[in-house]
Amino acid sequence: MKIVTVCGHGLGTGLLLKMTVEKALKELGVTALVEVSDYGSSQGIKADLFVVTSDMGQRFAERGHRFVTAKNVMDKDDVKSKIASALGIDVPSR
Amino acid sequence: MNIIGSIVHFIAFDVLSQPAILLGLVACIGLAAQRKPGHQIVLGTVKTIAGFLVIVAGAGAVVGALSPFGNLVGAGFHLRGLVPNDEATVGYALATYGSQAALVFTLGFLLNVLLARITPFKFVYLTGHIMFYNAILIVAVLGSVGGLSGWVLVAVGAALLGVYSTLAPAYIHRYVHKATDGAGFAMGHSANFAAFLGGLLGRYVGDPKDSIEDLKLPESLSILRDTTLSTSLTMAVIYLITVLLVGPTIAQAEAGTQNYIVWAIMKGVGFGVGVTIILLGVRMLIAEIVPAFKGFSDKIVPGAIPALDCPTVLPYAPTAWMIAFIISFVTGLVGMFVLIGMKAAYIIIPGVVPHFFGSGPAGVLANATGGRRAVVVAGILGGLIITFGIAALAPYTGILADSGSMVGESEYATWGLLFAAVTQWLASGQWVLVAAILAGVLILGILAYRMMRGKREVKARTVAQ
Repeated sequence: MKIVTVCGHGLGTGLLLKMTVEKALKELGVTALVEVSDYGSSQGIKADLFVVTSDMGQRFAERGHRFVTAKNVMDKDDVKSKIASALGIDVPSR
Repeated sequence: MNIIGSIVHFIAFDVLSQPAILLGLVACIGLAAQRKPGHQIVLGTVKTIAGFLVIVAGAGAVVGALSPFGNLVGAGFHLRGLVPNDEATVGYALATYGSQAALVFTLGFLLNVLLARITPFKFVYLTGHIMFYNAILIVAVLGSVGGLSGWVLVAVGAALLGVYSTLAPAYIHRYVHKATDGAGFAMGHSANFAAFLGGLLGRYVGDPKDSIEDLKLPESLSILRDTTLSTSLTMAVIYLITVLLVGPTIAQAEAGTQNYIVWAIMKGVGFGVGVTIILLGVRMLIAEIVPAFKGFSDKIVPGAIPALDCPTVLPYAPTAWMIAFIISFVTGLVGMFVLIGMKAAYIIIPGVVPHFFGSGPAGVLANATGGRRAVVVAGILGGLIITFGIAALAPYTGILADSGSMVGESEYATWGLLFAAVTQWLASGQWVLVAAILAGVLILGILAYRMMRGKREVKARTVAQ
């Protein structure tokens, strides 16, 4: 499975989001390849799921990609529950 | 010659003088410390080394696209025009100062972590690309302006970067905290100064209840988030206007056998492409190093507040960001004509990227403290700082100004200007001037600190009553 995080330049914010996603995936027990991309090139990338900052949500909705948004890129629990529901995984309680 | 001696010499002078390998080594150690599997260590190390070489290749493309522009502006108007773009500027200096910058980057981060551990400033700078740019800027100024070299250059540079990286997130944190509803992160970016001003002035201008977020912006503005597109488009327009203004004779001489109109457009797009290549390289370079840095700081300073890239505050007030950016860009355009009128040594041609990332955060913080009116003022102030401050900075930056570009945000226009000017005055022996300026900054700092502390005490007393 491939998950791509996106921010404008594909530098700092996307990388922080990637670290948060990796932590969340580990807790969910999912193995996936997580990559960072910039907004422009992300259009041509195939991925099972995009994780983007919330300000980009509307544009990703228009593209028809499967995506979830994060407002605080460091908020692991928020990202975890959104990824889990997007991928149809039950979040282990505790 | 004995074998051990030649091996040591080989490692110290042939291998480690290659900045790409040096950074690869940092990534390798970081990955190993995180107990990553062997194949990931190898891949991550190679990725870092390749990333560095991609940056150098991109810098070549940028220079190829920018140097004819410098010639046009020089021959046509007898001016020196700079197009601010951090990637283009630091990419250019990397070929000369790569090794020292790599060392300053790594040692500066370690000092930042140490300072976060032992001082009350619990901030760890995790914006890897900006920290890397800062390292290159510091090294290039200390080297090409200050005349330092070797280990002295590395030691002074690392000390400056470490102290700076600890304090920069600290002085704006109260406003970041407010704008993000206490999300638990700080902002560490070259846009910090404008953001600080935005947050500060919002306390005196406007009303936070009057938020600009009620305003809806057209979706078409989102094209600006695509860096390749926005950089190529603006540079193509700037190139096109320039060749039309200088006239066919000068333009055709630069364009050679190509039609000069087509040539100008292609050169403009070429600049955007060069920047895109550098960005790809930086992305590869920091991909392994930043997680390694974070893992390290988590162990050494468990309660540290991470100082993050500036778009992390964007989701908290996207409209404020866009409005401040647009106002800042327009201010930059007006400022360019003022600079031309002033016959300034360097004319700053506004770029989309520095105004977007440099003034956007100021809008977000201003909106949190002063609402829509503060956002407008923050945009104007941000635009003024990164036009006139950068124009003032350029003459003090040594080889960086030869790139035809310049670093573009408010931290460079203020703290960067102070640092570069002091370096030059020190190098030319103007001790009295330097002492006077440093004393002035110190007094201002103490006054500001006292004022802030005084206010807090008053507030604490009022609450207690």
